[in-house]
Amino acid sequence: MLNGLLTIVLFPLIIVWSVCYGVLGGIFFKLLAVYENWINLNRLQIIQWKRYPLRSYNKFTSAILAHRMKSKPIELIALTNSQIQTEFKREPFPFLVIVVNTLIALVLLPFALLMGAFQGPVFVFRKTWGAWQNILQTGS
Amino acid sequence: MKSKPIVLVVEDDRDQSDLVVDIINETGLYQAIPAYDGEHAFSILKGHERGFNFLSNGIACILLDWQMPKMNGEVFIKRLRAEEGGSPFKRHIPIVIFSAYSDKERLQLAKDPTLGLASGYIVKPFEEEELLTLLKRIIIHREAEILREILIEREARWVKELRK
Repeated sequence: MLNGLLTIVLFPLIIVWSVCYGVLGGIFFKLLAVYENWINLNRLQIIQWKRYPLRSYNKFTSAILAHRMKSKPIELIALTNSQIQTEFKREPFPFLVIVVNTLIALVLLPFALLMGAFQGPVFVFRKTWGAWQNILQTGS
Repeated sequence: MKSKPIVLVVEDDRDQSDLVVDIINETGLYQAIPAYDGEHAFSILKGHERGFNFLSNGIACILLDWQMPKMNGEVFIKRLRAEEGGSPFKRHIPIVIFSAYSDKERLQLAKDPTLGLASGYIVKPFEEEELLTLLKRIIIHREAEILREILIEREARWVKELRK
Protein backbone atom coordinates (compact mmCIF):
# COMPACT_ATOMS: atom_id res chain seq x y z
CA MET A 1 0.00 0.00 0.00
CA LEU A 2 2.72 2.42 1.09
CA ASN A 3 4.94 1.27 -1.75
CA GLY A 4 2.17 1.89 -4.28
CA LEU A 5 1.63 5.37 -2.90
CA LEU A 6 5.35 6.10 -3.00
CA THR A 7 5.50 4.89 -6.61
CA ILE A 8 2.65 7.24 -7.57
CA VAL A 9 4.47 10.15 -5.95
CA LEU A 10 7.86 9.22 -7.33
CA PHE A 11 6.81 8.50 -10.91
CA PRO A 12 6.36 12.14 -11.99
CA LEU A 13 9.55 13.06 -10.13
CA ILE A 14 11.44 10.35 -12.01
CA ILE A 15 10.00 11.65 -15.27
CA VAL A 16 11.11 15.22 -14.50
CA TRP A 17 14.54 14.02 -13.37
CA SER A 18 14.92 11.86 -16.48
CA VAL A 19 14.05 14.73 -18.80
CA CYS A 20 16.24 17.33 -17.06
CA TYR A 21 19.30 15.20 -16.40
CA GLY A 22 18.77 12.98 -19.45
CA VAL A 23 18.66 15.77 -22.02
CA LEU A 24 21.69 17.60 -20.63
CA GLY A 25 23.65 14.43 -19.93
CA GLY A 26 22.64 12.91 -23.26
CA ILE A 27 23.92 15.91 -25.19
CA PHE A 28 27.12 16.08 -23.16
CA PHE A 29 27.92 12.38 -23.40
CA LYS A 30 27.11 12.27 -27.11
CA LEU A 31 29.57 15.12 -27.59
CA LEU A 32 32.17 13.11 -25.69
CA ALA A 33 31.27 9.99 -27.68
CA VAL A 34 31.82 11.73 -31.01
CA TYR A 35 35.17 13.00 -29.73
CA GLU A 36 36.11 9.56 -28.40
CA ASN A 37 35.22 7.89 -31.69
CA TRP A 38 37.11 10.51 -33.67
CA ILE A 39 40.18 9.93 -31.51
CA ASN A 40 39.87 6.15 -31.85
CA LEU A 41 39.52 6.20 -35.63
CA ASN A 42 42.46 8.56 -36.11
CA ARG A 43 44.61 6.73 -33.61
CA LEU A 44 43.98 3.50 -35.51
CA GLN A 45 45.16 5.11 -38.75
CA ILE A 46 48.27 6.55 -37.13
CA ILE A 47 49.16 3.32 -35.31
CA GLN A 48 48.79 1.38 -38.53
CA TRP A 49 50.92 3.86 -40.46
CA LYS A 50 53.57 4.01 -37.75
CA ARG A 51 53.83 0.45 -36.44
CA TYR A 52 52.63 -1.60 -39.40
CA PRO A 53 54.07 0.39 -42.32
CA LEU A 54 54.16 -2.45 -44.83
CA ARG A 55 50.62 -3.51 -44.10
CA SER A 56 49.46 0.09 -44.21
CA TYR A 57 51.36 0.71 -47.46
CA ASN A 58 49.79 -2.35 -49.12
CA LYS A 59 46.34 -1.16 -48.12
CA PHE A 60 47.15 2.29 -49.46
CA THR A 61 48.32 1.04 -52.88
CA SER A 62 45.39 -1.39 -53.12
CA ALA A 63 42.97 1.47 -52.42
CA ILE A 64 44.56 3.59 -55.18
CA LEU A 65 44.46 0.68 -57.61
CA ALA A 66 40.82 -0.03 -56.79
CA HIS A 67 39.95 3.64 -57.25
CA ARG A 68 41.69 3.88 -60.64
CA MET A 69 40.19 0.64 -61.86
CA LYS A 70 36.73 1.84 -60.94
CA SER A 71 36.95 4.83 -63.22
CA LYS A 72 38.14 2.93 -66.30
CA PRO A 73 36.60 0.31 -68.57
CA ILE A 74 38.11 -3.07 -67.84
CA GLU A 75 39.86 -3.48 -71.23
CA LEU A 76 41.77 -0.22 -70.76
CA ILE A 77 43.21 -1.13 -67.43
CA ALA A 78 46.92 -1.51 -67.79
CA LEU A 79 47.57 -0.93 -64.18
CA THR A 80 49.01 -3.37 -61.76
CA ASN A 81 49.84 -3.08 -58.13
CA SER A 82 53.56 -2.90 -58.95
CA GLN A 83 52.97 0.13 -61.18
CA ILE A 84 51.19 1.86 -58.35
CA GLN A 85 54.06 0.94 -56.06
CA THR A 86 56.55 2.46 -58.50
CA GLU A 87 54.50 5.61 -58.60
CA PHE A 88 54.07 5.84 -54.83
CA LYS A 89 57.31 4.77 -53.20
CA ARG A 90 55.99 5.29 -49.71
CA GLU A 91 52.74 6.03 -48.01
CA PRO A 92 52.34 9.62 -46.83
CA PHE A 93 51.16 10.37 -43.32
CA PRO A 94 47.38 9.79 -43.39
CA PHE A 95 46.49 13.49 -43.19
CA LEU A 96 43.73 13.09 -45.73
CA VAL A 97 42.05 10.30 -43.76
CA ILE A 98 42.23 12.36 -40.60
CA VAL A 99 40.73 15.37 -42.37
CA VAL A 100 37.93 13.21 -43.81
CA ASN A 101 37.29 11.70 -40.35
CA THR A 102 37.12 15.19 -38.90
CA LEU A 103 34.66 16.35 -41.54
CA ILE A 104 32.47 13.29 -41.00
CA ALA A 105 32.57 13.86 -37.24
CA LEU A 106 31.55 17.49 -37.71
CA VAL A 107 28.69 16.56 -40.04
CA LEU A 108 27.47 13.84 -37.67
CA LEU A 109 27.85 15.95 -34.54
CA PRO A 110 24.50 17.82 -34.64
CA PHE A 111 22.61 14.59 -35.35
CA ALA A 112 24.48 12.83 -32.55
CA LEU A 113 23.62 15.63 -30.13
CA LEU A 114 19.99 15.45 -31.16
CA MET A 115 20.01 11.69 -30.63
CA GLY A 116 21.61 12.24 -27.23
CA ALA A 117 18.84 14.64 -26.26
CA PHE A 118 16.26 11.92 -27.03
CA GLN A 119 18.13 8.81 -25.90
CA GLY A 120 19.47 10.36 -22.69
CA PRO A 121 16.10 10.71 -20.92
CA VAL A 122 15.14 7.16 -21.94
CA PHE A 123 18.39 5.82 -20.50
CA VAL A 124 18.02 7.77 -17.24
CA PHE A 125 14.38 6.76 -16.86
CA ARG A 126 15.14 3.06 -17.36
CA LYS A 127 18.03 3.20 -14.93
CA THR A 128 16.17 5.14 -12.23
CA TRP A 129 12.95 3.18 -12.62
CA GLY A 130 14.91 -0.09 -12.51
CA ALA A 131 16.68 1.04 -9.35
CA TRP A 132 13.33 1.93 -7.76
CA GLN A 133 11.88 -1.45 -8.69
CA ASN A 134 14.92 -3.12 -7.13
CA ILE A 135 14.42 -1.17 -3.92
CA LEU A 136 10.79 -2.27 -3.86
CA GLN A 137 11.71 -5.90 -4.46
CA THR A 138 14.41 -6.01 -1.81
CA GLY A 139 12.18 -4.14 0.62
CA SER A 140 9.21 -6.50 0.31
CA MET B 1 45.57 8.84 -9.79
CA LYS B 2 44.61 7.11 -13.01
CA SER B 3 42.84 3.80 -12.44
CA LYS B 4 44.25 0.65 -13.98
CA PRO B 5 42.61 -0.74 -17.13
CA ILE B 6 40.18 -3.50 -16.24
CA VAL B 7 40.38 -6.97 -17.78
CA LEU B 8 37.30 -9.15 -17.47
CA VAL B 9 38.16 -12.86 -17.26
CA VAL B 10 35.16 -14.95 -18.32
CA GLU B 11 36.00 -18.53 -17.35
CA ASP B 12 33.78 -21.15 -15.75
CA ASP B 13 36.65 -23.18 -14.26
CA ARG B 14 37.43 -21.39 -10.98
CA ASP B 15 41.01 -22.70 -10.69
CA GLN B 16 41.80 -21.62 -14.23
CA SER B 17 40.11 -18.30 -13.65
CA ASP B 18 42.03 -17.62 -10.41
CA LEU B 19 45.27 -18.45 -12.17
CA VAL B 20 44.61 -16.03 -15.02
CA VAL B 21 43.37 -13.31 -12.65
CA ASP B 22 46.54 -13.70 -10.53
CA ILE B 23 48.80 -13.53 -13.58
CA ILE B 24 47.13 -10.32 -14.72
CA ASN B 25 46.98 -8.66 -11.30
CA GLU B 26 50.61 -9.49 -10.54
CA THR B 27 51.74 -7.31 -13.43
CA GLY B 28 50.46 -4.28 -11.55
CA LEU B 29 49.44 -2.79 -14.88
CA TYR B 30 45.87 -4.04 -15.06
CA GLN B 31 43.08 -5.04 -12.75
CA ALA B 32 41.46 -8.40 -13.49
CA ILE B 33 37.87 -9.18 -12.57
CA PRO B 34 36.59 -12.77 -12.76
CA ALA B 35 33.19 -13.73 -14.16
CA TYR B 36 32.21 -17.38 -13.92
CA ASP B 37 29.58 -17.45 -16.65
CA GLY B 38 28.22 -15.33 -19.46
CA GLU B 39 25.34 -13.77 -17.51
CA HIS B 40 27.67 -12.84 -14.68
CA ALA B 41 29.99 -11.22 -17.23
CA PHE B 42 27.13 -9.21 -18.73
CA SER B 43 26.11 -7.93 -15.32
CA ILE B 44 29.72 -6.78 -14.71
CA LEU B 45 29.79 -5.12 -18.12
CA LYS B 46 26.56 -3.31 -17.32
CA GLY B 47 28.15 -1.99 -14.16
CA HIS B 48 31.00 -0.50 -16.20
CA GLU B 49 28.90 1.35 -18.76
CA ARG B 50 30.10 4.92 -19.23
CA GLY B 51 28.24 8.08 -20.14
CA PHE B 52 24.72 6.64 -20.63
CA ASN B 53 26.38 3.82 -22.57
CA PHE B 54 27.18 6.30 -25.36
CA LEU B 55 30.87 6.04 -24.50
CA SER B 56 32.99 2.92 -24.75
CA ASN B 57 32.69 0.49 -21.84
CA GLY B 58 35.01 0.80 -18.85
CA ILE B 59 36.26 -2.75 -19.39
CA ALA B 60 39.46 -2.55 -21.45
CA CYS B 61 39.56 -6.18 -22.59
CA ILE B 62 37.68 -9.45 -22.17
CA LEU B 63 39.40 -12.82 -21.91
CA LEU B 64 36.79 -15.30 -22.97
CA ASP B 65 36.77 -19.04 -22.46
CA TRP B 66 35.27 -20.59 -25.58
CA GLN B 67 33.71 -23.60 -23.95
CA MET B 68 31.47 -22.73 -21.06
CA PRO B 69 28.44 -24.78 -20.03
CA LYS B 70 25.76 -22.09 -19.54
CA MET B 71 26.62 -19.68 -22.32
CA ASN B 72 29.43 -20.67 -24.66
CA GLY B 73 31.92 -18.23 -26.13
CA GLU B 74 30.19 -18.00 -29.48
CA VAL B 75 26.83 -17.05 -27.97
CA PHE B 76 28.53 -14.60 -25.60
CA ILE B 77 30.54 -12.83 -28.27
CA LYS B 78 27.56 -12.53 -30.64
CA ARG B 79 25.29 -11.20 -27.91
CA LEU B 80 27.92 -8.72 -26.77
CA ARG B 81 28.49 -7.36 -30.27
CA ALA B 82 24.74 -7.17 -30.85
CA GLU B 83 24.31 -5.20 -27.63
CA GLU B 84 27.22 -2.92 -28.48
CA GLY B 85 25.69 -2.50 -31.95
CA GLY B 86 24.81 1.08 -32.67
CA SER B 87 27.51 3.27 -34.05
CA PRO B 88 30.00 1.67 -36.42
CA PHE B 89 32.56 4.18 -35.10
CA LYS B 90 32.19 3.19 -31.47
CA ARG B 91 35.12 1.33 -29.97
CA HIS B 92 34.06 -2.23 -29.26
CA ILE B 93 35.50 -4.07 -26.29
CA PRO B 94 38.43 -6.16 -27.52
CA ILE B 95 38.04 -9.88 -26.88
CA VAL B 96 40.68 -12.56 -26.58
CA ILE B 97 39.33 -16.06 -26.90
CA PHE B 98 41.11 -18.72 -24.97
CA SER B 99 40.37 -22.35 -25.39
CA ALA B 100 41.89 -25.80 -25.58
CA TYR B 101 41.47 -26.01 -29.33
CA SER B 102 41.77 -29.14 -31.31
CA ASP B 103 42.56 -28.59 -34.98
CA LYS B 104 38.95 -29.43 -35.80
CA GLU B 105 37.64 -26.74 -33.46
CA ARG B 106 40.14 -24.24 -34.77
CA LEU B 107 39.07 -24.98 -38.32
CA GLN B 108 35.44 -24.49 -37.39
CA LEU B 109 36.23 -21.20 -35.70
CA ALA B 110 38.37 -20.01 -38.60
CA LYS B 111 35.41 -20.48 -40.93
CA ASP B 112 33.02 -18.86 -38.51
CA PRO B 113 32.54 -15.11 -38.92
CA THR B 114 32.52 -14.93 -35.11
CA LEU B 115 36.31 -15.04 -35.25
CA GLY B 116 36.23 -11.64 -36.88
CA LEU B 117 34.68 -10.31 -33.71
CA ALA B 118 37.73 -11.17 -31.58
CA SER B 119 41.18 -9.63 -31.48
CA GLY B 120 43.11 -12.75 -30.70
CA TYR B 121 43.02 -16.23 -29.37
CA ILE B 122 45.23 -18.20 -27.06
CA VAL B 123 45.46 -21.94 -27.00
CA LYS B 124 45.38 -23.62 -23.59
CA PRO B 125 47.73 -24.38 -21.93
CA PHE B 126 49.34 -21.02 -22.62
CA GLU B 127 52.50 -19.27 -21.55
CA GLU B 128 52.14 -16.35 -19.19
CA GLU B 129 54.31 -14.29 -21.52
CA GLU B 130 52.00 -14.95 -24.47
CA LEU B 131 48.97 -13.69 -22.57
CA LEU B 132 50.71 -10.60 -21.23
CA THR B 133 52.16 -9.68 -24.63
CA LEU B 134 48.71 -9.88 -26.19
CA LEU B 135 47.21 -7.76 -23.39
CA LYS B 136 49.97 -5.20 -23.79
CA ARG B 137 49.35 -4.92 -27.52
CA ILE B 138 45.61 -4.60 -27.02
CA ILE B 139 45.41 -2.36 -23.96
CA ILE B 140 48.60 -0.32 -23.89
CA HIS B 141 49.42 -0.14 -27.61
CA ARG B 142 45.73 -0.09 -28.59
CA GLU B 143 46.20 -2.43 -31.51
CA ALA B 144 43.01 -4.47 -31.03
CA GLU B 145 41.50 -3.51 -34.37
CA ILE B 146 44.69 -4.26 -36.31
CA LEU B 147 45.16 -7.55 -34.45
CA ARG B 148 41.60 -8.49 -35.37
CA GLU B 149 42.33 -8.01 -39.07
CA ILE B 150 45.62 -9.92 -38.78
CA LEU B 151 43.87 -12.77 -36.98
CA ILE B 152 41.28 -13.14 -39.75
CA GLU B 153 43.98 -13.13 -42.44
CA ARG B 154 46.19 -15.58 -40.54
CA GLU B 155 43.38 -18.06 -40.02
CA ALA B 156 42.29 -17.78 -43.64
CA ARG B 157 45.88 -18.57 -44.70
CA TRP B 158 46.00 -21.46 -42.26
CA VAL B 159 42.76 -22.94 -43.63
CA LYS B 160 44.11 -22.57 -47.18
CA GLU B 161 47.32 -24.37 -46.29
CA LEU B 162 45.40 -27.10 -44.53
CA ARG B 163 43.36 -27.75 -47.67
CA LYS B 164 46.45 -28.20 -49.86
